[in-house]
Parts: sequence; C-alpha cells; structure tokens
Amino acid sequence: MPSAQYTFEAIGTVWNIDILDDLSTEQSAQTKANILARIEVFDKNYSRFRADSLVTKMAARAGTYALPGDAQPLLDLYANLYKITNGAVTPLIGQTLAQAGYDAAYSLKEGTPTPPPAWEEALEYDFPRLTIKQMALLDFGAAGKGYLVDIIGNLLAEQGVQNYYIDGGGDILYRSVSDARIEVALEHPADPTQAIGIASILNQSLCGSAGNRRAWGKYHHILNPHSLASPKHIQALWVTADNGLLADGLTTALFFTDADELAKHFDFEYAIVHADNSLEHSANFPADFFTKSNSSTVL
Amino acid sequence: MGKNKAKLITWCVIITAVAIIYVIFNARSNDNTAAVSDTDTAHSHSETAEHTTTTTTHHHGADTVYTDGTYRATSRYSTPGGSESIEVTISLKDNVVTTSSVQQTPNDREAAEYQAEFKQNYKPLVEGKKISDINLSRVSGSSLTSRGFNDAVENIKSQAHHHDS
Repeated sequence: MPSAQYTFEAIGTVWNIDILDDLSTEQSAQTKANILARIEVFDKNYSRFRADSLVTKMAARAGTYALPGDAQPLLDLYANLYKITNGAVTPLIGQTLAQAGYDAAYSLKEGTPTPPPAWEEALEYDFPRLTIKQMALLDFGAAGKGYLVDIIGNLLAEQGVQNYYIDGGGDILYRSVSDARIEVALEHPADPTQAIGIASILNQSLCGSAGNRRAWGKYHHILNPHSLASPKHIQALWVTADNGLLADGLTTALFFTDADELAKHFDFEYAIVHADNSLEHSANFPADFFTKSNSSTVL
Repeated sequence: MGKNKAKLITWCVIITAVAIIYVIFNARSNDNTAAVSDTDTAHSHSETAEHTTTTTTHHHGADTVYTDGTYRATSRYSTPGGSESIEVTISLKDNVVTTSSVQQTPNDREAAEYQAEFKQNYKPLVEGKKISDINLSRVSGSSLTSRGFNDAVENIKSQAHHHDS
C-alpha cells in the first residue's frame, strides 16, 4: 500500500503518484509541494498553452535563447528523432497543430494546417543555446510529458524515495528496489472501460498513445507534418523503455516509422493495435494480451 | 496458373505448420513428456515457455486441455522457385493464444509475397476485457484530457447542437 498518493491535474492531464516508501505526513506534504513546484517550472518553460512560457516567448520573436538547464536530453532526443523519422517527429509542429484547431485556447475548430518549416531552416540547436531563425511555435507534446515523469522520478530519488509509481496521464514510470512488478491494464482504444492486455513492469517506463481522447473533427493530437493528416492506421500503441523520455518519444515516432528502423537506434519494446484491431508487438514486450486469432481465414 | 499453384503450396504448408502445433498442444496436454513429431514435409518441435515458470498448469476447458507455453513449428517445402521455410510460433496461456508470429525466410520473391500475405492474415486480433473484471486500478492508454480540453469539447458539441436545431 502506498504511504502517500497524490492525484492532481497538471500540464493538461491527470496525474497519479504513489509513494511506496514510508513518509511522515509532513514529509508527504512537502514532497507533494516540491513536485507541483517542479511541474510549474517545466510547464512555464515548455508549454505552448500558456502565454507566459518560454516557448510562447520564442514564438513571438526570432533570436537566440538560453535553454533551461534540463533541456538537453529533450532537445537531443528531438534532434535524433527528427533525423530518424525523416522529419515526421518535429518540435516545429506547434503552429501546424494550432492551425488544425489544437491551439492554446482549445478552439478545436478544424482549421487548415500548413506544413512546419524544416529544422535546418528554422532552428539552430547548440545546447545551451537555441536559435529561432524564423517564426516558430515549438511543441514538446511528443516527448515532454514522459520527460517530466522522469524529472519527477529524479526529484523523488533525490529526496530518498526509492519506491514510487508515477502516472502522468498514462505515461508511467515505476521504480522499486524490491523486485515487485506492477501490473498495468492496457486500455482498449475503442472502449476505455476495457483492457486489451495486462503489462507487468519494474524499473522502467511504460508510455501509451492513442487517437481516441485528444480528438476533434478529423484530427487528433498527432499530425503528420508531411501529409497534414492525423494518422489513422494505428489505434493505440505502447512502448516500454528505461525512461519516460524515450518511451514517450517513441510512441509518437512509431506512428510514422517502422519499429525495426527505430530499433536500430534505441532500446525498447512496443505493442501496436492497428486500425483493424490486429496486434503487433515485439518479442519481449512485458504484457499478456487478450486476443483471438483471426485464423478462421486459415484453419 | 503457376502463380496460384505456388501460392496454394505456400498456404498449405503454413496451415500444416499451424496444424502440427495444435497436434503438439494435445500431445503435451495428454502427456507432459511432450511429443516431437517429424514428418517428411515438416519438421517440428515444441519448446517450453520463455518465462521459465514452474507453474506449468493444465487447464481444463470444455473440450480442450492445453499446457501453457510457447510452441514452434518449422516447415520446409519446395516451390518452383526453390526451397523455402517458414516458422510459426504460438504462445498459449490459460488456453488463450497470447501471441503468434510467422517468421519467414523466403528465398524467392514470390514466396516472400505469399508469406507476407499469410502473415498479414494471421495476426491476432485484440479482444477487450472489462477493466473492472480484471481488477486493476492502474491503466495506461491515451492521455486523459484536462478539464479545459473537456470543457472545450462540450462547448463545441453544444454549439453544433444549436446549429442543428
């Protein structure tokens, strides 16, 4: 049983954090305050949904900006994924998403998006500097939440918490010095009251992505910057990796790039529910699935 | 016509491989010392599950009793384009096929097409179970939305409704 549980809404989603170590009431209150303060710092830097954020400031004026101290892992992963996915995963998607209706005011009116500029045209990244060469609204939705889950995990570890479970709107990080695995239901993309399987994780991150919730008109929260459409060939997918940043980033990348290609660059396991309800997963994805074989076509 | 024949051969061999796996299921469930069957057209063997579990249980369903584990069958066959092989793997847990895969090592382009077609058709389909029934409080799916997002959706729905009426 967790000694402390925090449930709250932040960065546009619902969080559940279980502290599995013993904490005094006082420590628990302090820990929660620290977490909320850290999320606020992250949000103020990277959220395109708030007027006072660094990202919003960058969108207003081209120039060279000093990046926050925690930006390097995030930007490095984006730079990597941009190359590997041929530009499909890009932080420059912000304006395109906003035009499609996913803007700071959640207008959710199906607009007509325009393609984002190429990385080389719009950005020059050399940590700790980021130069915005032309008007660009950055969006860190592809990997930001997973990274924030890691950051909170590190914050807990620094405070001596060794056993914790962090769920940032479905992006999960579970660390424990015991060898107790934790079971997580994998939500059915067509019916949130159902699961398609049970994952069992320990000292790793499990991140999921589906087009069923952040959806409006013909769009959902992932947009292909080349076709300007939201991918429909995948209903839901999950990735496990050592950390939330990588697991989250790869959930987005898998909408665009084959797992085999991504596996040349990263260490991860994955499961994909295709549009036809068929299941594809890597050999060691840590889950049992509820499936029926469509072998009627064969047997 | 030759094309269709080659396709038929490929499919038949794959079906044979799957059938052999089913034979092994039954053999294993009747006798835990597992049968290894060899035929002229197909070589097959069974392997135990990768989760070196000690709780190898027998499940007593209505008609069938299968042993948990991973089953693999490799079939080799000749086509006009040369010798081909295909490996079918099926994992069983609690009488349910949890994973199945078809590993293809086609030498011939046409065989590759047919095997890919089979693979496409032999994918497991997800089935839902009530989360309340499996008794788990932890769930991973798409990110829950915030009140702001939900309010916006509701707002748009009601606007659309006004337009309609």
